[in-house]
Amino acid sequence: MPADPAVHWRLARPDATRIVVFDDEAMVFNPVSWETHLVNLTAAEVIAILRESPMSEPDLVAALLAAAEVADPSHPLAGQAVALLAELEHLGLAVRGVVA
Amino acid sequence: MKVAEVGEGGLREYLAQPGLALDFGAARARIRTDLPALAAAVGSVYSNFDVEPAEGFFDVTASVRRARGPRRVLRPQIQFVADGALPFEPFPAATHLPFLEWGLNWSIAERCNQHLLLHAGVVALGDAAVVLPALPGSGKSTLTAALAVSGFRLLSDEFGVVRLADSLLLPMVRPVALKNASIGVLRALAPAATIGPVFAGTRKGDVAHLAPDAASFASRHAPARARLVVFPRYATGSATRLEPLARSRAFAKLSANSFNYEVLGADAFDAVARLIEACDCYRLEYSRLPEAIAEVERLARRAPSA
Repeated sequence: MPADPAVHWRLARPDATRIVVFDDEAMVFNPVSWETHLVNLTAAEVIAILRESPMSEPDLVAALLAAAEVADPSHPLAGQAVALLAELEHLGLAVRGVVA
Repeated sequence: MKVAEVGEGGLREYLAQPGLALDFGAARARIRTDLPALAAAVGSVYSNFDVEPAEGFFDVTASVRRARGPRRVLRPQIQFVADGALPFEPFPAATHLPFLEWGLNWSIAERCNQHLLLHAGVVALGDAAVVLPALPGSGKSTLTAALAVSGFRLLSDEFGVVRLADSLLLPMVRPVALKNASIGVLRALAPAATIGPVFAGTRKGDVAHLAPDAASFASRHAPARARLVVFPRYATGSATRLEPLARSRAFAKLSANSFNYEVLGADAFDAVARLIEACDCYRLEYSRLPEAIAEVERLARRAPSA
């Protein structure tokens, strides 16, 4: 699924979202549901990027690829990131905005 | 003065009025009863505790008293009263001490939300505290008791009390409830240890309580830093098997195995994160208790230090 330039993402409560990384997994505190999620490092990186600032979907994908040191914009990680954002939205962690 | 030094008559008087004050470390309780058999049992399993002034703040004032009604003579029953409220249906009078201990556990779990309460046993060897979370079939209490009679300091059996500010473990020194075959196992392992009367046929089978030792009681206000999280699993006939566990998985299991993690939100998350970061984490499957004790001792001796 390609990144949509019209879609912007932010965390629902960036200041209250906690991430702790342990080796190749991470724990995330969801301040909306008060649930704790066990996530992989890709998800943790996406949350960490959004915690810094909201951004458009293509910018977010680019930031994730840069963090993973991947130069190819068509790398499978790009598609995974878009699907991952939908999951974070489902959990209430991330909020989608659409530019008219 | 120790509870053991008061004598049975004196203890009955305390328990009748004003109540026997017990300092567990992380919580204080005042208990009252007019049941002579319960007074004797309390004298046994709390023998190493100080008799404290029955004044000041108590997390719970609990009474166990005879229930009124037609069953008083034929099938006598008792009530647990927590600060004037009756949270439970009456129990058979013959199960007095398990009922008191269960009621105290319930009261502590309901009230002590200033701390994170893990469902875990905690023991310590020197400065290294070992958290033994309770999962179904884990044999947590048996292993906690076995370690407590094998040179480890007992901090708690039912509650792993984590201070939110710094994740230090606070002692909650209480008798360790042993069930069914574990009672005989502990008697064989430590013939000199004080184990209270056996209550046959409770809802959890036969139950008896290991009395905390004097040194553990004396250290009830000394917190300890967790260095090891061991998830025990008792499996009949199994070889002793130790496996490292990823800290993320240990975090998930520990937080799911708490009385109030979801009540405390981000504070609980931070507390567990700090605790886990300082620990090595393992799964321990066992059937032979001496081998399990030796493994935990070996791990505790080489655990990361401050």
